[in-house]
Amino acid sequence: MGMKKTDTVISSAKTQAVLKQMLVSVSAIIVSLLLGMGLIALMGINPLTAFSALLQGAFGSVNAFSETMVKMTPLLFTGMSYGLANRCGLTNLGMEGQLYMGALASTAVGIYATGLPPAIHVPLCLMAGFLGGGLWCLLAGWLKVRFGASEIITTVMLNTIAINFIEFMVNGPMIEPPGINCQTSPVQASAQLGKLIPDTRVHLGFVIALAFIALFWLFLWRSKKGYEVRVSGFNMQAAAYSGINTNHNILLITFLAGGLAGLAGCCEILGIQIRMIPSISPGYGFDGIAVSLIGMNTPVGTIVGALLFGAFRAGGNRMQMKAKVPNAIVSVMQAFVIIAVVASQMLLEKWNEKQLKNQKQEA
Amino acid sequence: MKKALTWLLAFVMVLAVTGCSSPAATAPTAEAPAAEAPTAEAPPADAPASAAPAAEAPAADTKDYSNMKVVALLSGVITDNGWNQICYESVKNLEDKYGVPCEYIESIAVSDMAEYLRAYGEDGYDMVIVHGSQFEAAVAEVADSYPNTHFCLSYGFRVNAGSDVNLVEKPNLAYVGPVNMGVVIGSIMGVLTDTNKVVFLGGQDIPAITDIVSGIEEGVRLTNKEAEVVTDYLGTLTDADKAKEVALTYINAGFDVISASANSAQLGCLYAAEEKGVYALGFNGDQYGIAPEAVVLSVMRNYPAIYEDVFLALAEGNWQSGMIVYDLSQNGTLVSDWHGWDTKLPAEKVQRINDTLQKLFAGELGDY
Amino acid sequence: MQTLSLIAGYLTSDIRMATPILLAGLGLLLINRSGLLNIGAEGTMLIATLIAVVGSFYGGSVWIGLLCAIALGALVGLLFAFLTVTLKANQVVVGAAINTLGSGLSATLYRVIFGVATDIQRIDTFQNLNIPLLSDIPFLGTAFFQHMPIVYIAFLLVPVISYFLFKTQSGLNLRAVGENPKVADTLGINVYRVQYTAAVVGSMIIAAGGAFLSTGLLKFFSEEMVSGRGFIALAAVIFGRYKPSGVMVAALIFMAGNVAANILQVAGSNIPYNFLTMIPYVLTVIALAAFAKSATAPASLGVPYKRG
Repeated sequence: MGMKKTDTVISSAKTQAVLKQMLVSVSAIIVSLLLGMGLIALMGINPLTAFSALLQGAFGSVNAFSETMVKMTPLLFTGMSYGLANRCGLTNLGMEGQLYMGALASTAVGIYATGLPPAIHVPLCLMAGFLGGGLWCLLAGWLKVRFGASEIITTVMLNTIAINFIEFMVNGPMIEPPGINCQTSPVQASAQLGKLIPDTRVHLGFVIALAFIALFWLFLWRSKKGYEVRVSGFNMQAAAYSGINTNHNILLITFLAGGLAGLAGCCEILGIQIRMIPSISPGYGFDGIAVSLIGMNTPVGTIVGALLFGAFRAGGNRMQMKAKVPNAIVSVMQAFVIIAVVASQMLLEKWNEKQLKNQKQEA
Repeated sequence: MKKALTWLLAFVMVLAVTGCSSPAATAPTAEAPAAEAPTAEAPPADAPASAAPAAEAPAADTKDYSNMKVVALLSGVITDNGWNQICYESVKNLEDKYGVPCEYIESIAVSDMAEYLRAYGEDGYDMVIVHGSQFEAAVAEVADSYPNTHFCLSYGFRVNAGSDVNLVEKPNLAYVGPVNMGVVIGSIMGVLTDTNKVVFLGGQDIPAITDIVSGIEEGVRLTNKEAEVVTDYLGTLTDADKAKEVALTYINAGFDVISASANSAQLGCLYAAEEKGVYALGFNGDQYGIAPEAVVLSVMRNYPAIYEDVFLALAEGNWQSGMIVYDLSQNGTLVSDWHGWDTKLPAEKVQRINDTLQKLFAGELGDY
Repeated sequence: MQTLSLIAGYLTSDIRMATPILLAGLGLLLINRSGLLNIGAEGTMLIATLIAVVGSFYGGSVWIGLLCAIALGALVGLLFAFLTVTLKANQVVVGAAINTLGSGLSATLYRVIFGVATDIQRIDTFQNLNIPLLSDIPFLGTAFFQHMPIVYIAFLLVPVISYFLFKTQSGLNLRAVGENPKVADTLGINVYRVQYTAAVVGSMIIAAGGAFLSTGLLKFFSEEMVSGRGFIALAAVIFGRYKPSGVMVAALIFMAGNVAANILQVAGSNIPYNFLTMIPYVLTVIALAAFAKSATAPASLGVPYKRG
């Protein structure tokens, strides 16, 4: 009975903290948007037109919001990917490459496995995508465990290697006959993901991504392994002392994180692109860092982060179209958002600490 | 620390302000190249210029086109010194010459193209220029939904345009592009070389570059039966330093004429040629100014004239769908001015190049 | 004789290409040694490439361009330090944000300042400075003493930084902060000031590397021209075991891979170009794997320090 009461007290304090955090994050985003609008004004473009285009493009209509959802789908995966690795104390900067490898693997299964019903073909492609990204990231994990090579660098190097490899595959062995355009043939109809909302581009990948958010939560907060992972994330050495096999965990987490990024690419192929091309991702992999940052590596937070950056991408496109804001400005604004959010999170933490100190002194 | 943040933000602002105020100061320099840029009809041989159908269309001021809506959708930035920049200049040309309100969108990801196409279809645009064959699938998918919007896909045709067999036929979709530019480049290279070794470097193996590469050897053979011809890929469109080092390695191996098609990266090849004192050929725009000591001539994709042509056809109700290939006789390709190189080169080489180009553009050296 | 001059040529291009990596690596080394992990070298270099061109264009001298770039580097370093030292934000995230900022800001400013023109402005650039007498030595002269001034400066920085790090009190303080800030703090070292200084000075050196790329190796700015060099520099620091001389060797080896790839390509090997492009990156991964165990990173690398 008493236990339960403290539990609810803690959880209400927790909700309050989360609410506070979100409030601060939102105000940081507003500040950075204002800064961005200032920059746009300095470029000689009406910032109000730009801002209304941004909102319209992200939330203005069913169609607009569906585009936001389209962009959210890969961001959910890459955000989870960075978050999962981060929970284990690892830094995965290779989501872009893993996304590409996952996309390639699922394209291969989508094209070359024929005569399967969708109920088998689609899961098979998803598995291939997960494996493609997972194994690619596992390589970085293995290099870390076996040789102590920093995953921060190896994952970045593996990005370039993967993208070059994809260019080769798409231009060579997997090129669509007769071999003029550097793209593969389309995947079989049985491998394509159905539309979620008719007449838009939102596909079932969005639902799959949300399902994986649930799995993400179950794994990290409801499984023993997940607990171990989170402990190693706090302090790798302490975890090793307490008998946790950290090497084993690194291998597992790099595989899973890579797999999630691979699914981002896989869903882009099966839901949107239908075929593999050399530039399948406009940077979803790197955006995953920011998504996870805003979401503080929590499941709900990741959804919020993906929504924000998905809206930013969809609205940014509209801003280009309607307000003639160059693409480069959109990425500057994105950097402002990231910097403002980290700064605000840290300021909040400092403020909380100060309050705590004052309370202690009073006591 | 709040102070520090304010200072940093102030700095960013100041940067932006200085950035904004300076165009006035630099305007003249920015305009200078435009005067001799691709629209200038000053090829060394007179033949190609006189064959220009659209470039001097007199109809320009008689009609009002301001109610037509045109947009160009680009895969990269308009300052890439290459593929996208030439498209930007083309729509600017339309705007300046005909008063058509033209828009452009940069750096569109392949995965986003369908969304853009739909948006402009919904808005009832008359002509949507889709600049890059990687967008073919997206255009083919969307075209049917917007029969009143005309999609113009810039396509990299290989030599003789024979291999492009699987293009989708739609009444409102045209595949346009020049062809045989590689042959022109090759034929000039064949004359220029003293060591009988010439090299052409592509950025990546993509249609808009492979189309050029495919014609190089054939072109060199028109003027030089023995020369060793190498075509190779750099693997980058942005890393000019890498391109420069690759070019230097070729030059050190005895190659004395170099040309490239790799957007910004190709500048590195021109710098390398200038540093080592060998010949280079510019490509896409007139690149003499980048390395005056090396760039003998530039071969230019004449997209300004091509888009003008397509636009006028549409405006006058003569829209054509399907493959529209601009071969040499149709002004799809331009050769730049000599910029004084005709007095620097041995007279016999100048004579041969002038001769070859005249015959090539007149169709006397084969069906180009 | 023919082969000798060929080899001299390869060495020259190796040294030339290694210089931006070396400069960026030395800057990162200082930052890393103070316990800060900065993956934003790519973005820092990218803004510096543009600012160097702008400075050289308006100032009329490539040295003014270099100074502008270095000054800008200091500002970026200040921003990084403010976010990661004062606010203790996640260093990887801040570095990634600096990369995004660098890419967007350089593209925007370039267009605003120079407009959109096919013809590129001529600016003052670094010229080769042949060292008298030494450059006349056959083979060695061509390989080592016919370079641009900034190349000599970069290689001279190696012993200078080495001396600073291992022979001076400030260097010792810097390393102490990177190893164990708590102990350093109790010894009376101002941890924050050391980290701020390291971030600012380090970013200035990184920016010099960017400036050399656009005003030395090349003659203008183009978008995304840094093309991953910032990350290769980071790898060079690890491969170089967090020592200046090691960074130098690493930079030379990585770029030798590039030279080898170019030679292979020109020799007409049938390897698809995509694989040749991968060589330096594969080499980096292998080098990291082979030498990571012996490279002991500063113990507190990437961990924000909280006083008290």
